Amino acid sequence: MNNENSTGIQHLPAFRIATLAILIAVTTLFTYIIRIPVAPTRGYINFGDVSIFFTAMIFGPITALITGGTGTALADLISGYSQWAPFTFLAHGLQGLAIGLVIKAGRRISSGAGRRISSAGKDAAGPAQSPAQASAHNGGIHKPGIFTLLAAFLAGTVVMAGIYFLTGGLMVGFAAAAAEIPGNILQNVAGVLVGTPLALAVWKAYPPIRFYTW
Amino acid sequence: MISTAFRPGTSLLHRTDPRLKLLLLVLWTAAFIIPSPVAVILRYYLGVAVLITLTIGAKEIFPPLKSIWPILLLVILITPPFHIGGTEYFRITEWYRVTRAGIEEALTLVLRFSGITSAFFLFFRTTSIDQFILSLRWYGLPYNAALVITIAFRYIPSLIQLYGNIQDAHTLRRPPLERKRRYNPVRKFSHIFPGIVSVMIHSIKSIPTLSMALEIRGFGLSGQRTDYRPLPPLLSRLFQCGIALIVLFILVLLYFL
Amino acid sequence: MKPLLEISDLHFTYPQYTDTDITPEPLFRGLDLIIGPGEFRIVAGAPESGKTTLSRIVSGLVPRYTGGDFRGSVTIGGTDIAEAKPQELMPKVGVIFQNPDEQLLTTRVDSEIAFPLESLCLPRSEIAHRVQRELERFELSGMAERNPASLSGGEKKRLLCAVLAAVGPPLWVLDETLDEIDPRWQRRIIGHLREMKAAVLMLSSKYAPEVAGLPDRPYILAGGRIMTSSEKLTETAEREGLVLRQSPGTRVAAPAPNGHPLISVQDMEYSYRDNAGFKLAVEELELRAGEVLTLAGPNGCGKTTLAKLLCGLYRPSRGSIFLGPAPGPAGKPQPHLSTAPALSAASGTLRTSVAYIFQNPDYQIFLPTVREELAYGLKEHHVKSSEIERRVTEAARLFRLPPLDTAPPLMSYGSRKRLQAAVYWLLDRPVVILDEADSGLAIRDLLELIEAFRSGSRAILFITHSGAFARRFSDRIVLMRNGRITDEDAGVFFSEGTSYD
Repeated sequence: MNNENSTGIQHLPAFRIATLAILIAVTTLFTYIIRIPVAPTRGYINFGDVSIFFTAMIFGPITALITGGTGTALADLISGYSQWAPFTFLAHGLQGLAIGLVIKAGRRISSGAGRRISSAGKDAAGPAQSPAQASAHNGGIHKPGIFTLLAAFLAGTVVMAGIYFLTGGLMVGFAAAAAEIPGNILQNVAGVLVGTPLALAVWKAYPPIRFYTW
Repeated sequence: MISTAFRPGTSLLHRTDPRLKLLLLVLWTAAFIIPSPVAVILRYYLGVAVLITLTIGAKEIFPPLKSIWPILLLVILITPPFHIGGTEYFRITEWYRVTRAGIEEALTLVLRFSGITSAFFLFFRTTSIDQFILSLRWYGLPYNAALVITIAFRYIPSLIQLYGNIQDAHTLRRPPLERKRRYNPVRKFSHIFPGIVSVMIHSIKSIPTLSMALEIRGFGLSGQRTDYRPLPPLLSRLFQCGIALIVLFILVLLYFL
Repeated sequence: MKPLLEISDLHFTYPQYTDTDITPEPLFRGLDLIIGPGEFRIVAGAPESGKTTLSRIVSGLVPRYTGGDFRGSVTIGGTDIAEAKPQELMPKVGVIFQNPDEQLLTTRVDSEIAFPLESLCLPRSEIAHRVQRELERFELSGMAERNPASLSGGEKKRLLCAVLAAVGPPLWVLDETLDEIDPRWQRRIIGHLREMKAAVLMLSSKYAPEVAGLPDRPYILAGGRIMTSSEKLTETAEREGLVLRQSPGTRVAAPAPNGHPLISVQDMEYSYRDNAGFKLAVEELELRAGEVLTLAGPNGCGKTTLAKLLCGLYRPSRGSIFLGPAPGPAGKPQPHLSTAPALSAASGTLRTSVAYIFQNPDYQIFLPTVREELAYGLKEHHVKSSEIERRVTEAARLFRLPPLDTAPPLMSYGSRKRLQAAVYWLLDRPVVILDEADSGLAIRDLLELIEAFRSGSRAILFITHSGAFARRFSDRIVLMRNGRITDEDAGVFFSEGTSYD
């Protein structure tokens, strides 16, 4: 059976530009618009971190770095908090990178030998792989194990809350910056708790996404 | 339409080269951040306020402050106990003491954050996103990165509208709430979740189409792309460069006066 | 004269996903087409006959992006497209997609026109000259700095024409482009194309032998081939559902409407938040059980807004919507629907009584299989699982859906539309609103959809801007313009196509 699903378009420059642009816009949407109140008193969580976890899980650390940082920074620009934009870019960009690296490491550990076979086919532009091979090659989203998720959450939280604390401290003093830490932790909790099912749901509901990652 | 803070206009700053504005913004922010006595930070803040008054009108001093008043309040309340020194003015408990050092530090932080916020506000009020991205490119941002950001800006309003439609479509599919229940984040989440799955799928689906659109507009052809609306050579704006240098000089001077 | 576009013995089949059991049918089975320089050729085809795929093949995007089984030869100006990348083909062929939003890349009209010229590395002065020229030609000069997303549908298409004209390829491929453009601009665009001596391949879902004075009859794309001979053309056009002219007496059999109003509007007004001048005002409108009412009008006249008011997404600023007859003189028949007659319906109740089927079927698709999508609404309404399974199977049969384990995003557009309809059919609401269901659906699918909903004394409101087939299934036709229902003769409106003041 000739399966030509893997056409290699994910390696085209135009495709990568398109992917980054769309994921950035999605992250901005999730940060700026999608939010749920968490307490009767005006407290909100925005879903920006959900988008970052999603991107890290499916598209990998570098993409999460670029789109997580830029997407949230653009949200700052359009919501009138431009003074935070450079720091947001750093905090969420490195958060995406950290989460992506942890998840990648987690997969490598849990799929040991299988990885070696499929990585050979990774750069070949030639005949397609079966979905099983493709899954493994694309970091197969067999659900990341609970320890991986926990580690990713910790990495993301430490990096994001840490950077916000350090840079925020420069702007408003470390006492006030420390007051933001619980909120930032909560954001990461939402990120992993919603982002993981989101990634799984999209992976199952839209199979072609497997061929969009690189 | 979603937009940044930019409003078209003809003020002095609107007509200033964005590369110079960006440089001044970065240096002014650095000036705010380096440790300095309150008096110096005050001067820096007043400098920004004067600039706002001269270019877009004094009443624009207040919007940036309004947007950050909760944090300013927090800073005023939470800083003094951590900076003890000099005359003590009052104390609430054994632990919460307000001293001269505490007040100075709180004031410093308030002025610093207000100053940085106001400076950024002024920059983005007088600089369109196109101009901002062009100046980043002049400073070294690669063309492809600038293209990604431009396209992202093009898609943000569409995605926002799309999400609205998706929410409507999902709402219509569900039975309405029978009665006003106590607010429950978990239920709210289960109402939102299908919508965010749909919007994510929809967005991912548009990636190959966007890629096609880029390719049929010639993206990927070899050769150095031309710029239709480039920034003029900086040297052609010698006068502005001169003014910028003078402003920088004043900034440095304010530190030492 | 050497032909400009030469397609010879084209065979193409989309690839099969190994996860599914759907074996795709071949789309093109030996298709031939020749277009000479400067020649204007219309090819009409039913939805899903392959028009969009053809346009993408000619521009080099398929099979590059899709894979699949591709045989035969396609050459443009001597270049074999199999050897060229889309960006290399750009100076030779320009394509305008059906959905203009898919092709807009920038945030300014003039940047949009300049973009491909920048790709060609033309000198700046040349780019500026061409941008200016096309802004004037397509009357976009006043909008040079505007965001393309803020333009109307027709203006966006003019912008896309301006972009192509700036590049000036010898072959233009228009995928349903002239639809939704008013007749004055249709003529002007065709005029400009002639001036530029461009060869044009225009793909359309309507077969009308005289279009803006063009002499040759359209070809027809059907059964994977292009038919050019004139004998069988009208027959095929009718069979494929392409004709504009209505043949009398081809109504799908339906019982006479029994007249119970299921939903009535009284003195309703609605003002748009963003658009201060525009107001929707409907004094009186009734939807009766068992009838199909077509609401037609040009784009922007308020049809979708009216639909959103009827289903409870918007609240009227004045007036009321009743589930049942509007209160009036005594003696009106008792309503079937609400227990309290003449009670103005709250939006929550409207939402449970009205099914609004969006034009885009993908807004609410989010589950991995057809079965789950169908069952979702029933679960939310607390139906028992044994009952759910029975109803789901019945719906799948009635709407001819693919096997229940199929992933919806892999289904064809027509199947997804039927899935969307099935989801709402299962929700069993008495009033059904179909928004622009005729675009993108083959005529047979559309008639089946309407038939499936018609049973059970439902009221159907069918919204369209081009009412080509409305007469075949409507009991009443109502026209809207500028937010108001007008008295115009529907017949005149439909024969002229959409026209703007």
